[in-house]
Amino acid sequence: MNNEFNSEYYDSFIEAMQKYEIPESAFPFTGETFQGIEEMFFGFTMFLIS
Amino acid sequence: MELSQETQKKNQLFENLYDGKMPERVPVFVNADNAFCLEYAGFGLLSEQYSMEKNIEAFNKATEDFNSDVCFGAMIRIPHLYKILGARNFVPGSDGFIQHPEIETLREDEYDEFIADPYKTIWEKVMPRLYSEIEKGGFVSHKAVTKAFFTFYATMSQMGSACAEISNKHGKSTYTTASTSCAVPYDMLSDHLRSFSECSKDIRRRPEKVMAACEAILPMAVKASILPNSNRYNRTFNPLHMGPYMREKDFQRFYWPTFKAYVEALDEAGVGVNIFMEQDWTRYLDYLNELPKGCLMFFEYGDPKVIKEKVGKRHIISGLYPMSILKTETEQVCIDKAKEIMDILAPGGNYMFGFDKGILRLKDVNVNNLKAVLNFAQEYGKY
Repeated sequence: MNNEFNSEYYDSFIEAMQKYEIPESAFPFTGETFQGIEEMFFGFTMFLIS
Repeated sequence: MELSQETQKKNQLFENLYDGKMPERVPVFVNADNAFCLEYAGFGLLSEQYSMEKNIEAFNKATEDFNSDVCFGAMIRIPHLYKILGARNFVPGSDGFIQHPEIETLREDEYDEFIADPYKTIWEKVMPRLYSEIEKGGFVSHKAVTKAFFTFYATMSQMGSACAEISNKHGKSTYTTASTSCAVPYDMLSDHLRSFSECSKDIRRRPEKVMAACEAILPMAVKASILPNSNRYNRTFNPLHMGPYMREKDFQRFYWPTFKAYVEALDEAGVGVNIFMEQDWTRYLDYLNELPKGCLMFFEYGDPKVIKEKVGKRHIISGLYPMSILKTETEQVCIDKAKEIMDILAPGGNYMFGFDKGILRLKDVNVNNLKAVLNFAQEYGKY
């Protein structure tokens, strides 16, 4: 079984960097500000269907 | 926050248990819904349950008064969040206690799109049917989701900090039942999406779709169950629902494969799993031995001797104390029952004292019996 999560409505880190046109030099500083919020939204979604 | 010596000692009890070592004594893991705590503290569900300050005050009072090893209050549902969203799945009854009506939010002809992208389908199809404010669309929907997102994390953060502080103040462990929580795939599909009754029909009418949907849910469930701070001690809670209501061959085909894969994925990530085995899992005890070692299993019903014998060497057992007798029987009968269960389950370790179900309301128990049983378990459980 596949445990890899993908969705049109979820941006992985690399997808988010491309979407927001973040230069590679800024990647190390974007974990909390970009991906952290994406993960929080995912967690919120799961709570709402639990 | 600097942990008190007593809290560190209590944490050690649980760490030893989760590490497969013999703790100094049987940990006593009993807590109650915030509704119980509010009522115990003299507050009402129609009024004070919407106040975080009053919930925290009630948790503090209950933790001070009941001799459990953990913070006595647990806020599983967030009343104000459901109001903001216009929830149809969690609705206060006439006395304010939140009820969970059965609801079908994923239609039978939507299986294919759900299987292709469950996360997208949840937002496109399921959320508007679960929450009336999201269904309204446009600004109202955006505002409701924004408010709910903020409310969810603000509440969780406030409650998490408060529970840790209350635990430390009263010398309790800072570990909880759920560092995070998630349903296993078949339960997720049947609970808030297809509904119990429709899902039970689906396994006969469209079995391939049900299996594919469970497999599509699995990556989401695994992802939701592993947080940055998850580990062997900060464990993930899984309340199981549907297994005991299925025929074994259906359980084997639809429920078990993704349940097992889910627990294995968490184990591979080094995350401990706390599983509430709702109803009677006696038929499935042999299956449970196929799960990775060291799951904590809260059993509701079953013969303690059989459960200890079959899964007690591989997994940690809790539950099985019939909470209902705390309301109906004398103090001595309640204590004798605790002794009887501990005599069976405690020898050799891998056991944590707990009740067969969560305490929801003040009327569920005689408070004096509850206090007597907790005091007894603390003393009698010394190894």
